[in-house]
Amino acid sequence: MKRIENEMKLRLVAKSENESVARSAVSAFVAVLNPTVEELGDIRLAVSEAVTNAIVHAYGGSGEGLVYISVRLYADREISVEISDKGCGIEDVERAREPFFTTGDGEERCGMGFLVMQSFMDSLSVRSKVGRGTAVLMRKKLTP
Amino acid sequence: MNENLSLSYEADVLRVSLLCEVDHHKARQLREAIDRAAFAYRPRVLQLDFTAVRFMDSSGVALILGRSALGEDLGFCVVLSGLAPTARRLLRLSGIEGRRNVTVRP
Repeated sequence: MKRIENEMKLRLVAKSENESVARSAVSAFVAVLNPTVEELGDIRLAVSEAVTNAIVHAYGGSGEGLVYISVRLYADREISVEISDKGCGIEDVERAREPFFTTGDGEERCGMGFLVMQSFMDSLSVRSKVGRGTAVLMRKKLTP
Repeated sequence: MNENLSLSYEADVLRVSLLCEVDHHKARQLREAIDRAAFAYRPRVLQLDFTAVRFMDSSGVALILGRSALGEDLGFCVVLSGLAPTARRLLRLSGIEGRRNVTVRP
């Protein structure tokens, strides 16, 4: 088990105006490790994608429900960000993770959420249960 | 008056300067304002200037793809300028630069 240096837990109502709150809060918390501008941009982007997914897909854009964010900073400069919800869950996670897959809910979407999280962070894992919710865990090791 | 963008039109070019973070929360407002202007002016070029944009996620990619599709219907091309490095990487990932009517300026 790696030693956790610091931890932040946050829960936000699933309203779209909280997308910027989420990425700003995570970014401010991670900033103590002095990441590069590019690393911080990558993390903000990945958080925004995950929180948007929860708001739009897990809770269907209803503006109700909570999005849970947990950020851990480890001694070796690795960070982990877990974003979870208690929404509808994903029936087929593998399919949902396919690049450009979108459910087509009438809004303009490009189906890049998971692709962006995977590409801009070092690792991504997705756990989901229909009717129970989804948890997305992302890790990134910051440069020394 | 829209605090999220500013619009100008001259010589067939509709220039839209985006002034806010481009995420899912803002995308609809931006889309509606841009499309209203595109239908009103019927430009040959829609220039989207991202110089003042401090953050963009894949909702921004969807916004650009949607305007590119509208451009195919209405007969305009889309020129993107002022993109920050992270946004450029996002666009490369999306493959948007390969679209016929989209040009990315350095």
